[in-house]
Amino acid sequence: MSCTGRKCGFFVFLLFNVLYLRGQRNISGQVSNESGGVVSFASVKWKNDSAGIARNFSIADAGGHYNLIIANDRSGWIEVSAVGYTTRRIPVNVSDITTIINITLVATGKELPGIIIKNEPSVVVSGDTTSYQADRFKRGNEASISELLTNIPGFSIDRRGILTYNGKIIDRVLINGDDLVGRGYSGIINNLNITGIDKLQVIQNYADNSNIISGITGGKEQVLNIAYKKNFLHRLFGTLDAGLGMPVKYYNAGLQALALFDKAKALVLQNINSTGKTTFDPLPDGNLYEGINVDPVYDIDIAPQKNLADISDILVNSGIVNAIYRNRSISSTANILLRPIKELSVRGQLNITYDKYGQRMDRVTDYFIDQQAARIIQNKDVLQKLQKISGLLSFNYLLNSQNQFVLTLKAYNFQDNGNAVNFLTGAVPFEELLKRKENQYAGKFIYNRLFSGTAAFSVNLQYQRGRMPGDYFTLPGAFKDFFRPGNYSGFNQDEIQKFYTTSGQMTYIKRINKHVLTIGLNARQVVKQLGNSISLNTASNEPVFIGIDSVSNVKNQLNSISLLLQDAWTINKKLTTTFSAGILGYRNRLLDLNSSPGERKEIKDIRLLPGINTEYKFSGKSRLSFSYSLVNQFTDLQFAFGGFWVNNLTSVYRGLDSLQMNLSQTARLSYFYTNLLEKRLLFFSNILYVKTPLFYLTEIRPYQDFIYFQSVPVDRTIDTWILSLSVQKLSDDYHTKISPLINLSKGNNYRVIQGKEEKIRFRQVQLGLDFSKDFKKLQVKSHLLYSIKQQKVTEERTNRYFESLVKLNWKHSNQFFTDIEVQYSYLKPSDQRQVDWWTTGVKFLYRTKNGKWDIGLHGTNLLNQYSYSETILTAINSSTTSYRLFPRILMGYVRYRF
Amino acid sequence: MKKRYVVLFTCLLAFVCVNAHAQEGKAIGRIVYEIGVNNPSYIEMWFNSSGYMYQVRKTGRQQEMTALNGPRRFASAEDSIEYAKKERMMKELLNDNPVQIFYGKIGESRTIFSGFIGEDHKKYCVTDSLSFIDWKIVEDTLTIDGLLCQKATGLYKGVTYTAWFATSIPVSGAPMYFRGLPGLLIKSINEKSKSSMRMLEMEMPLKQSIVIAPCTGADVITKTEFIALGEKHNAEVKKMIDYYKEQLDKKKRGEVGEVKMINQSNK
Repeated sequence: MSCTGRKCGFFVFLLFNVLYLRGQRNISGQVSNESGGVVSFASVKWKNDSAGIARNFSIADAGGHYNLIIANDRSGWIEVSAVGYTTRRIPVNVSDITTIINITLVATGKELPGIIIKNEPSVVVSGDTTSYQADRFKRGNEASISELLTNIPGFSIDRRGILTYNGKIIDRVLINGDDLVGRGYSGIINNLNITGIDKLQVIQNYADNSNIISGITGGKEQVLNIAYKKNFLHRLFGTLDAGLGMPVKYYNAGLQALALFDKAKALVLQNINSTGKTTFDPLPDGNLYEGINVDPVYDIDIAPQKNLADISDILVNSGIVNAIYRNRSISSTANILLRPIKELSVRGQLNITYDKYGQRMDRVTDYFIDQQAARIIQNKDVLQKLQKISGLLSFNYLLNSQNQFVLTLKAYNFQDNGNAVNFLTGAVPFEELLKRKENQYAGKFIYNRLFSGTAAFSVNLQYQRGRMPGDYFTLPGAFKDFFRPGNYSGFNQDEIQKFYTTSGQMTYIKRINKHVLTIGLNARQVVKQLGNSISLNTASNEPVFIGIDSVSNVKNQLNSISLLLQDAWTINKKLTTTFSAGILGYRNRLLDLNSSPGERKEIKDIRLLPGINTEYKFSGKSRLSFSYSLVNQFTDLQFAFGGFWVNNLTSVYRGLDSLQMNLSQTARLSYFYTNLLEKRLLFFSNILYVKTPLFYLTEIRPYQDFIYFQSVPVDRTIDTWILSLSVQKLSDDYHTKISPLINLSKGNNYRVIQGKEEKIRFRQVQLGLDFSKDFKKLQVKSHLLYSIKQQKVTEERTNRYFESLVKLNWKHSNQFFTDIEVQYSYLKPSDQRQVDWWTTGVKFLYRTKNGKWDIGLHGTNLLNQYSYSETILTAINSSTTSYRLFPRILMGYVRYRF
Repeated sequence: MKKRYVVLFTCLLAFVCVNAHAQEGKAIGRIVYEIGVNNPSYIEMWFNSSGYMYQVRKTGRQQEMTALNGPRRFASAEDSIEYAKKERMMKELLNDNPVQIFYGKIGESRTIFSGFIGEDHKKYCVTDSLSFIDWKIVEDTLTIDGLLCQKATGLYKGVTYTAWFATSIPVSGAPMYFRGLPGLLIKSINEKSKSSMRMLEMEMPLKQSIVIAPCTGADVITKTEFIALGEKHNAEVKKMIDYYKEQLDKKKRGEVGEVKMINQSNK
C-alpha cells in the first residue's frame, strides 16, 4: 500500500491522536545478532524495572521487527530474549510517541540451560484410590506426616493423631502397601519424617489381601497408604536429630529408621525429650480410640482396666495443648514385617515408653445443687511416672492357597507411680499416693479355609488374662470423720483386679450370586474378680478397717453365646445393603466370695439384635449411606462395684452390686461428595442418633465441709442427635482451601441431687471456618471456631468459647523457612468471669543444599503465658480449669538425614 | 598468513555457534501437556524458536473400554475365545491408527497437519488457517515445577483463557490456538469450563534429534477439501453397510443363498 502525502499525513495524525489521547507510546525496532543477522521471533517485553514483571510484550517477526505499545510509562526497561542468545535488558526513556530502538543480542556461546521436568498429576483418582503426589503439597518445612497432611485436601487430624478423610476415619496406615504399624498409627503420623515419600494414597473399600477370605467378604475400610520413592527402597534411611534449649534443662533427641526390602520391612522410632512431648494417652491405657478397633486378625485388643482408686490425670478435653509443665519422656517403637518364605509372614511390634511428668491446675467447680451454690476451689499438683511395655508377635502361615493359619501373641505391662498434692479452700493440704501395676497376656489362633472362590470357613480361638494390683494412700486420712470418727494419719485402699476371657468363634461365608451370606457362632466367657480392702491408719500406722464392707472379694462371670446371620447384598452397581440379625443368649452372675455360701445375683436373657447398613452410590463422586444397629451393653465391673468420692478426690469401693443390661441404638445417615478433579470440592454431612443406656448416675450430697458423690443405679437412656456439615472448596492448584464447618447437637441427660432425679436438656452449636492459601512465598493457614453450649433444667446455663489460630510459613528459599503461629482463645462460662489467652510459637529452619542437614531454632510459648483455661459443662457441674503450661523454651536443633 | 587463518577460524566458529542455536527445523525441547484430569488426553509438542509440532495422545483408552464393559459372562469357551479375538483386533486397530502430527511456524497463521482417510489410512497434508488468542499479560507470577511463570489472559470464541508462561524460555509456539505468548506455555485454564491444560513433562535441550518439519509425502489439500473427502468416504462406507444389510435381509428371506461381496455384485 502506498502512502501518498495527504493520506499519510491523515494516518500519522490519526495515530498521533489515538496514541496521545490514550497516553500510549510506541517502541519499535529490529532485533539482530552481533554479526548483523536477523534474530527472528524474539520475545520483547516492557518492564518498569530491570528485575520486575513484564507489563507488555511483543514477539518479533521473521525479519526481527518488533512493535511494542506501552501505556503511560515514560521510562522503563526493554527485555529481549531469544533462544540461544543472552537476554538483554535496556533502560529506556520514552520522550516521543514513537521511538525506534534496534537491539543487538549476543549469542550465549554455551549450551542451553538444561530443564528436565517429569510430572504426574497432583491428584489421580482411580477407582477407589485417590493418590496425592507428596512433592506437590510439600512446602519443605514439614517435620511429620501429620504436618504434610494438613496441606492435602480432605484430611483432618485431631491432636491424638487420628486421621479422617472427608469425614470418615482412616482405619489404618499402610507403608508401601504393607500393614506395618497396624491401626495404632497415631505415633507414626505425628512423628515420622516425610523424607522419601512419593505418594499418599487414600484407598476406600480396602480388603487385606494377606487374609485369604477377604476376597469373599470384601473390604469396608478406608486406609492411607504411604508410598515411598523407588530410590528409598532396598536400603536403610531415616533421620537423627538433637536439640538443646534455653535454659539447658530442655532437650530433645531422636532416631527414626525405615527399611523397605522385599522380604523385610522395619520401622524404628526413638525419642527422648523434656520439651513436653509425651506419650501421655488421655484415654484408657493401651486402648485405641473410639471409631478404631485393633486389627481383628493380627492384633489383640488390650482390655481396658481401671483402678477403683486413682489419681486422675489432668486432662485437656478440647484444647490443643498438653496440660503438663515439665516432663522427661522416652519412647521406643519398633515394627517389623518379615517374609522369609512365600508362605510365611511374621509381624512384630515392640513399644516401650516411659513418661515422668508434672501437672498443675486451678479449678473452680460449680455444682448444680438446687438453689444453693456449691463451689469447690481446688489446686492440684500431680507428678506421675508411667512405664508401658507392649509386645506383639503374629505368624501368618499359608499352607496353600486354601488354608491359612494365624497365631498371634501379645504381652502388655503398665506401671504407674503417682503423687498428687491437693489444696482445697478451707481444708488442709491433701496428698495422694498411688502405685499400680498391670499385666496382660493374650493369645489368638485363627484357621481360615477357602473352599473355592465362593465359600470360606473360619475358626477363631482366643484367650486373654490380666492382673492389676493397686495401692492407693491418702494423707490425711479423712474429711471430718467422714469415713470413721477419730484421728487418723492416712487412708489406704489396696485392691487387686483379675480377669480371664476365653472365646471361640466359627464362621461360614458363602457367596451366592449377589449375596454374601455369613453364619457365625460365638461363645464367650469373661470372668472378673476384685479383691479390695479399705483401712484408716492410726497415728502409730496401725490399720483400722472402716466397717464390714472394708474387705471385699467379688467375682463377676459373664457367659454369652450368639448366633449371627448376615446377608451382604449387592443389589446393583449402585446399591448395596447388609442385613444382620444376631441372637444373643447371656448369663451374668455376681458372686460375693467373702460370704459363705457366696451371695449370688444373676441376670440372664435372650436378645435379638438386628442391624442394617445400606449404601447408595449416586456416582463415583457421591454416596449416601445409612446404618442402624442394636448393641447389647452390660454394666462394666468398675461401675458394678462403683464407689463414692469426696470433693472429687478419694474414690472408694462402695459395695454396690447391681447388674444391668440394656440395648444401645445407633442410627446414622451420611452423605459424602468428593470431586477433587473437576469441581475441587469435598462435602460431608452426617446425621447421627444415639440412644445409650444409663446404668448409674452420680448423686451429689453437699455437706458443710465437703461435697460427697456416689454412684446410684438407674435405668435410663441418654438420647443424642448430632448434625455435622463440612465443606472444603479448593483452588485449581489445590493450594487455596476454604472449609466451613457446622456441628449441631442436642439431647438429654439425667442428674440426681439429694435423691431427686432431674432430666437435663442440652444443645450445642459449633461453627468453624478454616482457610489456607499460598501467596507465593507465604503460606497462611487460619482456623476459627465458635462454640456455644446451653444446658437447661430449671435454669439455663450457657458457656461460650471462641478460638482463632493463624499459622504463617514464609519460604524464603528452598533452604530457609520461617514459621509463626499465634492462637487466641476466649472463654465465657456461665456465672464465671471470662478468660482469654494467647499461645505463640516461632520456628526458623535452614536446610543445606544437599538436603541432608536441617539446622533450626524454635521457640514455644513466646509470651510465656502461665496457664491455659478450659470450661466443661456437664450434667452435674460447670468447671473452669486453668492448666499450667510449659514455660517459654527457645531451642536450637539439628537434624541429619541418612 | 597466520592472521588470516585466525580470522577465518573465528568467523567459522561464530557461524557454527549462531547456527547451532538457531538451526531451523531441529527441536530444542519437548513438552508434554495434560488436558483434563478425569480422563486425560496428552499433547506432546516439540519446539524451537521458529516452529513447533505436536501430536495428541489418548492413553489408557483401550483398557478403559474393556473396563467399561465390565466382566462378561460367556455361554461357552468358544464364545470367550471369540470375544478375546475381537478385543485383540479392536486394540490392534486402535494401535494401528496413524498418529496425526500438527505443525506450525511462528509468524504464519497457516498450520499443517497430517490427515488420514479410509481403512488404508490414506495420508493427506492438510493446511488450515487458525486464529490465535490475543494475549494480554498480567502482573502476576507463579512458580510451577521450579519455573517462574507469568500470567496472561485472552479471549477466544467468547471464552476467557488464563495462561501461565515460563519467562525464562522465550518460545511462543503452543498447541492449538494458544500460541503467541512471550514464553513457553506451561498451563492454561478455560475460565468457563474450568478445564485446564498443564505441563506434565519437559525436556530442554532435547537429547533426541527431532526435526520439526511439516507434513510431506502426500497430497497437500485444504481443511475444507479434507472434510469433503472425509464426508465422501463416510457416504461410501454407509452405502456399503446398507448393501450388506440388504444382502443379509435377503438371505434371511431366502432370496439369495450367500451374501455377495460388494465387488462381486458390481461384477
